[in-house]
Amino acid sequence: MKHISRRHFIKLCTASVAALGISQVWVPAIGEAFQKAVQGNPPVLWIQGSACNGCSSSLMNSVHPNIKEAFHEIINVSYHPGLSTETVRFFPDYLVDTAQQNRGKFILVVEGAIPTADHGNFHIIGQDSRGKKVTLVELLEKLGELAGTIVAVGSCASFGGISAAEPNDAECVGLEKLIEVSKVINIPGCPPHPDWIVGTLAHLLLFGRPELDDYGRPRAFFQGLIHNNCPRRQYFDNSIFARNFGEDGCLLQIGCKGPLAHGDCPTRLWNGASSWCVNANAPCIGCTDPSFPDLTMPFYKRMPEIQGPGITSTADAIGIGVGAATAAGFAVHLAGNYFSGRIGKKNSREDDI
Amino acid sequence: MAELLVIHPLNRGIRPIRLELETDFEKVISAKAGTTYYWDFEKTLRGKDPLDAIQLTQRCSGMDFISHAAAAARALESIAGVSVPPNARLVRNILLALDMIYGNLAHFYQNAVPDYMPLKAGDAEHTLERDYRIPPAVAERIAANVWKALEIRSLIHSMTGIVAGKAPHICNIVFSGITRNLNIADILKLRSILGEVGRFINNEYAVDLEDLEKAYPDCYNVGKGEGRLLTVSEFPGNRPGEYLISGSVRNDSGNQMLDTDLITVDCAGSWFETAGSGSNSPAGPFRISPDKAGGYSWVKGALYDKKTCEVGALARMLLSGNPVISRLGAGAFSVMGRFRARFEETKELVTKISAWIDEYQPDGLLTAKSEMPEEGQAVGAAEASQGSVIHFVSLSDGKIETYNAMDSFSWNLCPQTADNSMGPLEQSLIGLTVVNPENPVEVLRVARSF
Repeated sequence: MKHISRRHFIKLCTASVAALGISQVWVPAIGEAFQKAVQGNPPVLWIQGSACNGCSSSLMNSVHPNIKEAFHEIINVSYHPGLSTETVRFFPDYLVDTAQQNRGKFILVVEGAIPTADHGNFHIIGQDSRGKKVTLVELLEKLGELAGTIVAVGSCASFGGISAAEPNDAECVGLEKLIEVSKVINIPGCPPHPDWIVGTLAHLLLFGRPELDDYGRPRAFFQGLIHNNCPRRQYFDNSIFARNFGEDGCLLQIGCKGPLAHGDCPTRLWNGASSWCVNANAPCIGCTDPSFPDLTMPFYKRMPEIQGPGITSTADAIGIGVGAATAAGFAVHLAGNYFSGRIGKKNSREDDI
Repeated sequence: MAELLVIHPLNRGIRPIRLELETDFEKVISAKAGTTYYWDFEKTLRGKDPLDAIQLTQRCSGMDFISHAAAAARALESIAGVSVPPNARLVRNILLALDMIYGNLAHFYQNAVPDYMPLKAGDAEHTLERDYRIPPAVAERIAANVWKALEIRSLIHSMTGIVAGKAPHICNIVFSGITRNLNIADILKLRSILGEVGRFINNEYAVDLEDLEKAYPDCYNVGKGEGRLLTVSEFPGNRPGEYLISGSVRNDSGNQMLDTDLITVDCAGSWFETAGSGSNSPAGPFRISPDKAGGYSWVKGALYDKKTCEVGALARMLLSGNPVISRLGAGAFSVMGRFRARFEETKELVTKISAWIDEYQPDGLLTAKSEMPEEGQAVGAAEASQGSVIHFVSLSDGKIETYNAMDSFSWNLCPQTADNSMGPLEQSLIGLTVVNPENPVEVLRVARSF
């Protein structure tokens, strides 16, 4: 199967069949993408902002394809801070030059949040050929304008994440606050699953922009609520709750944020399909949600009752009936985000729907 | 006349670094090494539920996250006076060892090796100016192993995932123990993957390092640093107080037991200030001060008994008496000595993990019975591939009052101190000859040896 349709690709990407990573997609897609690579896939510039580099570590855990295949056959990485073998003398000049040569075509990947306090001085990314210190904000404003697509990898780059947790002295923000929102694709997670990163980049190269949800996340990976696909869901429906680590039961009482967070972790599993948080008897900490971490803490305490205009919901209420569950779960999700003030600003995403 | 050489950013490490050197007749006469982005969790942690520290502090580093989880858990357990059940001890040992192996492989193959051989098309044209000495056939083999090492790293994270849910950023370490026992299927998988990892280490890694040593014997003579070392206690054994590596320090008067009360901070070259007047307690609190005169780094420096110390595999191996590293004598304090120490450690840990798996009882207790105290303070420490991770924690009213997470950067990248001492990495650059400022390979090799 040399030609793979977009519909087929998405279907293969979605969680229901993805327990083996995206290998099923890879075999057919690779031939096609490789042909494109011969003509020159658009280069990827990977920039690290304020981050722990865990997103890059996660990317390197890609199994099918492994990272070598991904980099040799699909993702044409011009620069990655952890993998580029050269030590570039004038780093900001190099990036801007590469961007200008590929104006409108290249993919800018940003890992980490952007500190905006004190004119961006909380993050100096390098020194240019004139000896001037260049801030991350300055650099991203330039590169953002020249990029064809911008991919925010991780919760910090997407929504601010841990970098922007209170009190956020450095005034860290996600990319959307800095760059034209319609250009940005968010792949949140702390860190994101490697399949989410590689799958999104492969979609971009093969078919263009993937379909996104209200928070700019590719639907193929983020449409399901963790809670709805959780292997412990039956316990929840029967009101059987674990009170201590290692007990059978739904983990809600020991802090699970699965009713709030979207992602396909329960079916995709992590690290070569070995496990995921709930498999380890540990609660989901809601790391893909825009409200992470400020509103998903305390991680090990039960989610609070959420009251907002027109919405009063407790997570218990979700258990009343399976039919009502999805709607109520979604309401919890919306309410959580309502409080973090993120709903209602995404008008420019309408063209994605 | 002195000339200025700035390398910014020095990439490929866990965090980018800015290097500013002064050279005089090609010799480095002064060095400043620092980080130019704010990455600090002290304020974020203030007022939070103490249990959240185990998750939040993992985000200090996408490479050494397990050590941060362990240090945070140990600090809280020390406040509560609780010791974890045997299974929790073993699982934590296995995880910490896996993270060290992961970090050591990443350091050698992704961080260091690219400074010694051409890996990209066009690199070979620069053989002379970049001082490439490895024969092409050998270089080709090592280059293939650079990619292979990434696969092995991914396998190590699969093991971490089996034990701890996922990696990076694990979820099974909690206050007073762990959340999940290994079952028989897990143990079989771990054994099988460990076998593959071990084969790579004993065949490829061992030979690749030997080839590097053969081509660059002079790298045993550069990058000395100041020669003081520090390690915290790691890999607890069965009996209380028994460790595979005992917390110790090597300073000007010989080796001695580590006393965490002697650790202080020095913010002279940092963009932080200690908030209390004249206090140099590592517990904080701290204030940020980006316009401070003399500040050039977002790292808070760490001192032991008022002196800077190097941390990492070299410190662990020498202070725990590893025979191979001890035999190197003065040569151990060098670029190649650090590589060798990481290798010897990696090899040893593979056999240790195997022994810890043997010791594991699949039905043992997960957590010790205990309540999180409302008040108290403690120090929690763990070893990471890059070096010691030490958390200083105080609680009040059931919340975190102060929190300072020190890691290898606090030690190896300690910025210039109040008495004008340089940090270990800075010190190791002094006296180097930089032949070509456009391609300062000598500097890159030493700076990336930590």
